[in-house]
Amino acid sequence: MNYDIYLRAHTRRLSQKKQSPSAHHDNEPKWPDYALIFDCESRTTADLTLTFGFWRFCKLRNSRYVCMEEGILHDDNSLSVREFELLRKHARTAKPETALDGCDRLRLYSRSQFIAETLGIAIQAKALIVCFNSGFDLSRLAVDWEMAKNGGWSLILSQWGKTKTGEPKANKYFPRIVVKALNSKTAIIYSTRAPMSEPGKKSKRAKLWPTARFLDLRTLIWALRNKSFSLKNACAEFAIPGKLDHKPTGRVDLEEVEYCRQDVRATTNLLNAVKQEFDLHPISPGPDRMFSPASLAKSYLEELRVTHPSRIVNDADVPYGNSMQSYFGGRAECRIRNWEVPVCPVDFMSQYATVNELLDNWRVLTSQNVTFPDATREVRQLLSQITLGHCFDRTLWPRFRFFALVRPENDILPVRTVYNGTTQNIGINYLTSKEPVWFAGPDIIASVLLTGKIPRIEKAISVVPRGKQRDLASTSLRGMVKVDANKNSFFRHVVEQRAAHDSNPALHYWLKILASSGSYGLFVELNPKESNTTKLKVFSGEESFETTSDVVEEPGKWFAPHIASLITSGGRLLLAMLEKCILDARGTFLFCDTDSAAIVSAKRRQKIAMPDGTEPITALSWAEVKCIVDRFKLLNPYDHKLVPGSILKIHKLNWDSNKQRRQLFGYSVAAKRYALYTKTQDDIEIVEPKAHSLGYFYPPKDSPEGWNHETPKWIFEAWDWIVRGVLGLKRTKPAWFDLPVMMKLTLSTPHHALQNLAKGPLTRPFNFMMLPQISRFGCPQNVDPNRFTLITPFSSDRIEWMRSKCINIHDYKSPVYKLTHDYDGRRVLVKNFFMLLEAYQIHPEAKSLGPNGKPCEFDTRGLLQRAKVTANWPIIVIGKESDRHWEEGEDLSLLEFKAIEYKRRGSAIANDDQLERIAKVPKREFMRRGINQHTLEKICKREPVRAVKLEKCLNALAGYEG
Amino acid sequence: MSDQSPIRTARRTVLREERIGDAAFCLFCGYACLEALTLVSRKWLEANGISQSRLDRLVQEHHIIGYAHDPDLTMTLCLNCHKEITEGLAREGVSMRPEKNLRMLIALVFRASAVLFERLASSYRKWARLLENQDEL
Repeated sequence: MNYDIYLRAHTRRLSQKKQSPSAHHDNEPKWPDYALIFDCESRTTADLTLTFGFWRFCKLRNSRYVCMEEGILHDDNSLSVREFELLRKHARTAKPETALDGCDRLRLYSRSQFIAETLGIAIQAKALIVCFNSGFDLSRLAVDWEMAKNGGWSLILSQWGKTKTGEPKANKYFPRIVVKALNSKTAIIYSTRAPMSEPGKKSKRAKLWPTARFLDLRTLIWALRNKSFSLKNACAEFAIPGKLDHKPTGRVDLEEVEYCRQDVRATTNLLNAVKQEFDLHPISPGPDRMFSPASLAKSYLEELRVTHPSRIVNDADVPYGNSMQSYFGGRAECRIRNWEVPVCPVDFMSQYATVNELLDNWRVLTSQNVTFPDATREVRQLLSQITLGHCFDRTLWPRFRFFALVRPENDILPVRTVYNGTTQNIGINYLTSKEPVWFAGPDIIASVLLTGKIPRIEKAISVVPRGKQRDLASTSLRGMVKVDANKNSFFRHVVEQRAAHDSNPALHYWLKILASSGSYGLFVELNPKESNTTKLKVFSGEESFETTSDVVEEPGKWFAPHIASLITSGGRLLLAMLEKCILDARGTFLFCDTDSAAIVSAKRRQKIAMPDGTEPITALSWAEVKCIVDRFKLLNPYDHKLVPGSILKIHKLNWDSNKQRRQLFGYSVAAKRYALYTKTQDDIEIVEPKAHSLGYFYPPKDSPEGWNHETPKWIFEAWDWIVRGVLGLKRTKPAWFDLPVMMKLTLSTPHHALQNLAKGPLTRPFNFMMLPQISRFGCPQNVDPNRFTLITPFSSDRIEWMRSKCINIHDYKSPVYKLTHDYDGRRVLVKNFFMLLEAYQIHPEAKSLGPNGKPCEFDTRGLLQRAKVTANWPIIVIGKESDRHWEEGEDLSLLEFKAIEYKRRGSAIANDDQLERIAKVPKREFMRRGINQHTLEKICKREPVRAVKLEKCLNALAGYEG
Repeated sequence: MSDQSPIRTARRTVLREERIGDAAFCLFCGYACLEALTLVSRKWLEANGISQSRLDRLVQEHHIIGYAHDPDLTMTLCLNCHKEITEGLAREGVSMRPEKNLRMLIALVFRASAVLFERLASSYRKWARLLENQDEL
């Protein structure tokens, strides 16, 4: 079938970027001398307005923050007299927990006093402003808010009345706080440098507020542990007294006051505990510069004085364009659909770190200069000789470090296209293209292994490192593991030392995080930034053109697409080698996902019947799987004393809690939609359910206390229900099946659709809201389903969900909509969890063909086949295909996320839908309306024409149609 | 020394550090207590009529509970000690503005006296140590 194919590009700004002054200075101390720690409590009603909070001003003494002053803050005017009296009494009677030389009174400030007397002065004292989940607490203090220039929230903390009308307006002499959320765990927070007063008579320049430093402990702990913790869990993790066992009521009573005070006490203790851990890392940036585990990895590379990749690659645009064109993410696919098979899950150990080591990428990263010489002859020769056996020779892997321009003809290569008619997806399929496309070396080798034929190579370049950087230094990982950039390969050393420090769980775990966070993501860090019609030069493979775009992808400091592209490609080669080994043993697999696969396997080799009379498949014996696993020992690039055995591991799920080998079964619907389970005579137990496409919905039930799986319990129940249904086992309908499906969102970024709404619960920054999932054809009459997205204030009371009052975010004059299970044309028919799961289990694997060679449909089952893709030309050049910073269901902006598409200036191509409509209209109708015959022919052949001409043609089409 | 307003103290400290640096000391005597240091030039001192001979023996009258509350209750202190004890009053929250409320005035007098006695206590200890060390010698 013909498809539009989407390929990534490297871009360079043509207009110079305006350098914004850095908010952080190099000479600022890692930990400031003072810290202001606070926590706010809010009403539990939808608007979540501030009630009161506690704060502590601490001083750094003997590397611990010691409380010097403590106080309570309360909302300016929403408290009742009784509530205020309670706080006043508490402030008078409670003893502050301050140092002996600290303030001996517990302060009681209103919100505005707190802003002026505490927060404002703390900013001037250059204190670290510390919260746990800063976005929520800072926004409780805000009296107003606007959209910041960077697309984040600009929080107004101080207001004054207009002299004429008395209406409040922002105090321009007090800094605003800007919160730009990057994802659900990280935000860039800074205060603006507002003038402190009117310019004086002597000096025209007014003194400016210093820039405050904000530390969100949740983010810092995420950077250190690669897990998102609540305050309660974080306290448990760092073994300090945590939160009180109390459910917030939204009132101001003694219990609530003690609860809040304990939160601030816990946050202070947590700050000291986290500081102690962070100080183990001999890195220069302060804790407020740690945005993710990758920040820590990048800081270590800086400590090792590795030069940024952009400085060692000359004339990078064209090779970067080639690398980006050949860049694809991990491979995920389902091979056997809607059919139960016995499986043995396996996975590659530290896959990306291992690939880096095999390809010798550390040499590339630490070289003085990287060049991309022509290697067409060498690559053709390599491909003509390559076999699976050669791929197990790890000395050959550095030769796989090349990119080649391939004219594909039924070669098995990664193809990014819209398989299902709505979203882009990557499939490893048979590709044919009349024009050549760049691919990474390991992908081409994988194609040779799987097809047995050599793709047609037009030209090739290799990635050649020259020399070694002279300034490389050594450092100590977490203060305990010495690493010398001159002697050790960073990737290899981290994995080896992780194994060597098995007895130190904290270090062992952190080295695991470092191995994954420092091996890949930083080399393809691109941060999309909104920028009005910026001129860009786009490089993608052989093509380069100038265009304008409203979104610019700003590369990170460690951006090195030639490395990133080879890493993911190397990962796919490992999977292809595994696939080839399985095929050679006449077996197959249920699914694969980036670094793991589930091989169809039973204790003894056996035939497994397949549906609809198709040929049975073979389940490999456990011993055969072990042989395949052992074969990968040859690729172990590590010190065998420290990391013995194969890089492919039989997953620990294959053993039960008594360490007895057990038979697992698997059932897969589509890529990343599968469950593994154990089976007895007439019962099953779900062992590993995949939460993909389910996990972002608000759980219809809470997991019980002490639940220690990462996946919530309701996902287990959902898969249990699906699998039992498939196997015809007795099943009971979970109690939550009739609940409406809701997505919980946090208003962490301003949404343009909410700008016009009056200030309220649905517009306050960092407030929560729910997004009911509307059933297909469930919109009320007279609304456009494409512009109908409902939101409603958040409620954790699931019984109340059906009574939610919703508004449409696309209509700022939206009426209030009610939800229903029975459609009546006025109310909105909402999807419930039963409908969700019914649809979930028939989701087709669109990128594959069914056993009959036809496209995979909802009822396709059995062994799937690779699709045959013929590329439409020209290709579509794109930026990031999805905003990986946000998971689905985290931010409202993601609902409207569109991949950046770099359009060739002045030219345009009709899409499939337009061509279909054009084909229905006689040509003379276009000519009558002034469309040139040659232009029309070009449009029909999908050739680029001037955008204005295509628009004219579409206007003529619309005129004819309507 | 008790500090009733550590946030304001922190701000003063940071502003002082910004103005004169965090490692500043008196060029005349090597005194390094930031609170006591004022950034002046020699030119400024001379322009203000302070001769070289007087620079070594500067003394000031300290109002123990503030000029506004009792202009006559004073003691003579060197410039440095005066600055330090004034900082102590500020930290203790002793306002230099006239206090009308009698109860608050008495509280203020106690706080100001506490600062003085704390200074005296540390001073007596210093003298005691000096004497003890002389005995040992």
